[in-house]
Amino acid sequence: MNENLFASFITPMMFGLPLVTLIVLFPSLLFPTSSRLVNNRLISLQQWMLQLVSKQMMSIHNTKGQTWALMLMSLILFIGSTNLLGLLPHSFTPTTQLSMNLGMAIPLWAGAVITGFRNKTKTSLAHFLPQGTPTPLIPMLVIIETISLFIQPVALAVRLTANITAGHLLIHLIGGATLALMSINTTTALITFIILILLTVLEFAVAMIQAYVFTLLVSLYLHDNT
Amino acid sequence: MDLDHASPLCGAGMESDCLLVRAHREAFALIEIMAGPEADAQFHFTGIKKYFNSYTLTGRMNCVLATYGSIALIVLYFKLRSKKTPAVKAT
Repeated sequence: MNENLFASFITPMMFGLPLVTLIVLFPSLLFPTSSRLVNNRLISLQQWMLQLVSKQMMSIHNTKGQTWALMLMSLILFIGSTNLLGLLPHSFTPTTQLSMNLGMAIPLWAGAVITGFRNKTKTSLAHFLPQGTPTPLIPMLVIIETISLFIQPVALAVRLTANITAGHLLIHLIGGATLALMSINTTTALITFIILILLTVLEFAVAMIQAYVFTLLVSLYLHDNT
Repeated sequence: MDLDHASPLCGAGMESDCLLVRAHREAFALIEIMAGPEADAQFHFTGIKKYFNSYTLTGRMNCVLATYGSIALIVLYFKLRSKKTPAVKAT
């Protein structure tokens, strides 16, 4: 039981070859490129959704920030589709791996921060000290703000990893409990099954919300630096 | 403070947006109002406070650089001190 609980988080291999590259690339197959002016229903729906999200997210940025539109939209699509595909039974979710999420968070955060330091050096440095800080507190607050800056990519990655991993673990546990209770007490098993259904609905929402939160925070860091 | 009119999206036909996006926009509007070099003109400091204060952009930047410089100097001092002191004293 214990070994099975974490088995879904081990990177899958087939005949000694890692499948993780194929799994990471798979969601791109679900977003076909359009070659017509009037597309089919799937592509039209995806384009409408993408337009809605990009309008909401990129309208706040200036011209410099809007150059990141492709990056941010790709990010939200990738994380959202990966999280949702991970809810399929017996599938592997790449976003449960901290290495993967750090690999997304650190370059994006660093890119935003370096852009800010290059283009607005004074403002970027001044951000380390909140306006109106009393003089005796200045050194301490500068150190605290520096630490909070460097914590940002770690928090981004750990938030996504923890949310997706915790959700999958809960589904696993409650599913196992439902099966075990079926032979003991059918009523309790039914209640546990209803909880499992509700949890699965919650996990669908969490999958999409976490993708939105990750992208929104990267967008916020970019806005602070452009 | 009227955040709706402070927001850069006023008049762009976005009034029907959901609550989450409105909150998102208002947070950005607040950030834009609080910071900015045009706000520095209202402060008139003299002496050392002109260069080191927590209100103007230049003052804040100088305070940050002074803090980092002090930390670097302290680290350098302890590194050089540990090099001067021998590890084992001859008896």
